[in-house]
Amino acid sequence: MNLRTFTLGMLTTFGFAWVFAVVLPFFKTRELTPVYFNEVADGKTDMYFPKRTGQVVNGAKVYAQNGCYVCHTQVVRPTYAGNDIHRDGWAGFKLDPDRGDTRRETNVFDYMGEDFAQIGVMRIGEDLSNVGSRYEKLAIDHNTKQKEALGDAWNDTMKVTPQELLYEHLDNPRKVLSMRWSTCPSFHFMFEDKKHASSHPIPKPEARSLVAYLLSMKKNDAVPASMNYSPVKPAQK
Amino acid sequence: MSQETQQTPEQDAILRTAIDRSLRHPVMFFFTSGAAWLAVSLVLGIIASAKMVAPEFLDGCAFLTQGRVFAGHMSVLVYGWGCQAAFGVLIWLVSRLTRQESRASGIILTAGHLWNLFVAIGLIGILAGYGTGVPWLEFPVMVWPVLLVAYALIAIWTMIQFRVRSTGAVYVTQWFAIASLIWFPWVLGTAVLLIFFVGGNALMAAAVAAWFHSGMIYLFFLPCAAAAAYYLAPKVTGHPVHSYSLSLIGFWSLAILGPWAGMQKLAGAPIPYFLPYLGAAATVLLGVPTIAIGYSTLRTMLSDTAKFASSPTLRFTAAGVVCMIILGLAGAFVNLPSSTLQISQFSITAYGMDILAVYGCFSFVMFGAIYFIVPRLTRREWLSKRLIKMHFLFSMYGVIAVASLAVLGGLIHGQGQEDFTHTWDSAAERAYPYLVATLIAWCFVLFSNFFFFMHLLLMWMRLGRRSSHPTLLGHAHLESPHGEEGDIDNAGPGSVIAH
Repeated sequence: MNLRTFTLGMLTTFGFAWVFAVVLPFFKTRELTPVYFNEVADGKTDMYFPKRTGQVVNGAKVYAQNGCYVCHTQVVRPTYAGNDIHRDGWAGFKLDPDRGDTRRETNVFDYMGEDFAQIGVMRIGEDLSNVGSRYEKLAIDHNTKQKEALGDAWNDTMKVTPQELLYEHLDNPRKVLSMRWSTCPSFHFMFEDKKHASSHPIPKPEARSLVAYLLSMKKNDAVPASMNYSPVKPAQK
Repeated sequence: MSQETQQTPEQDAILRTAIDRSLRHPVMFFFTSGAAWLAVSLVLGIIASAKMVAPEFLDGCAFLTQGRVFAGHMSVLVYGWGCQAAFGVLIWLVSRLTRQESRASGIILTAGHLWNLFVAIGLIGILAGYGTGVPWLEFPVMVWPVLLVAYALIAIWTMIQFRVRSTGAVYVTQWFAIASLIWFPWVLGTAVLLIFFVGGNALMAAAVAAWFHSGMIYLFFLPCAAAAAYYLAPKVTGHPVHSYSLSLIGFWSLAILGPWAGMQKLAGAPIPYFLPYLGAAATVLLGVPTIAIGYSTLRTMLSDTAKFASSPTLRFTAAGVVCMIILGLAGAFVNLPSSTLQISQFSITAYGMDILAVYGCFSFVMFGAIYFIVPRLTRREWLSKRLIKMHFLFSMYGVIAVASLAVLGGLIHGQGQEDFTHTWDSAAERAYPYLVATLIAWCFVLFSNFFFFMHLLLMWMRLGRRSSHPTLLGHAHLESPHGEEGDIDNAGPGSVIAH
């Protein structure tokens, strides 16, 4: 093989893949075309725009800096690529009290506001696409249970928020009995030193943004019919 | 492999000695600092593995959080050890094959220091909590441009040497060496530029990162290992490369398939659908080049069984080449869409494949090359065959254990992940025993590399044996695998007085 063949071969083999699998797809997807709801199919005509509130950018940074992506993923694969949708709470809820079956696969708008989609390296812990929805449900369930147990002694100041539950979890991931198996590291360093062992963890700013970011992950909102790949889902309400 | 020259054997030996002398400091610097980073990476790997099974271990320090330590472990393994070992071997190989002394050793050495400094800054950055969160690109963003500049300063002289060489033909080793020197900055530069500086869709950034990760393995580490194996096998045995056409197939199939692989990591994520399928197809087909390269180098090594049995270089290289074949076959086996891909995509298989590629395939061939090159550079022989044997046995045991446990255990782990009729903790439970075994295996690897590092350090300090007999693994032997006795570089006719 002479140098000419070698150089030309190198340029074409690598260059071809580089252009068509990396550079073109990268620049073609830079600007997303907005998707609109359809009057007939969805009953409304707005643009589809998943709302994310809270310190998403700062929280994503804390998430990246502490290597959460080593053990947690953020993608719900369609059924042809995995069984994620069937895991309760991962893709949404099968029996949501208000919206019925809210489960759906991840779509391209779900990573709005982030520079890098933390797809994840391994799934040692659970997928976090809907960790916000899960913790909201957890808080509601917890409060209802407490209310039933305490009866008249219950008052609204006893309510726990999803934030508080997540702070507890990050401070000590193995605190709840059902989570004793977890090998998640404790992020105790993101909390102020507690005065009493019984008191709630007091978050530092990084814990606040991380929790805000985690709670913004509610990737089970209703999508326009044109993007809905699970049409068996009953369109309730 | 030997090139036609009009020189007499004496002149030839003098030239080889001169080349080795000119490269002694930069290449030895890359090897020793690389070995030191390898030890750092192994310590971090052990901490990370320990934390995966016992999260309370070293709990409470921010800089020892599992995620940061794991990121540091992989980054240091790739950029501290992997890249530096590769640079050392590649610049030496190209200098030897183009028959030219290095004229820029000072600059290469300075750039090597810059590289080390910024790997250190990068590691501190990750542990201090300034990592980028992009797998395999975790060093803080400011580190990357410096590393690319340092790389340019290291590699440009090798490229110039290659360009102005006197002989016309390009040999097998040179294809792989020059190709990996071109692919490395192309892949790294693209990823750094697109992800950190241009910015685009978050998902495509993740896809580019996955492509980069695969590119580092298949377009840098694997061709580096191939370049060294194609040099060492004929050189030590004294027989030509087994099949020229097979190595041609190996090279071009790698060049055609390698750049497409990687994006199967994002199968099911909302990126253009053809990308994960292309990535999976390319990774499955990459079994072809690994088998072609592996078969032709192994056949060359086995052409002289006596030397194969006694040469430390061949023993390490052969182990690395076998790992290369396993990597290709395992890559084909775990990346079948709608079958094994979904269970390997997010299980501990991913880690096992990385270790198999970087530590199994690549590092073993690099160890082989180091055992061959260092005596020529330092003009001393390795001190002890027992140390070499220990290094080989414990490393081999460790890497077989880590790779097979993580790859196979990962499939069991992945099945647990996919089995949605059981709760999530049952999937985590399935991975647990394999993670414990990985931890133990890493300890063996660290143990073996401690001896390797000490041995290398002694050689660097020129405390090796002053002898013209290479250190071999067997007992008595009649002929040396490193050429005719008395004709090796250390004491041959071309020897220049050592100082």
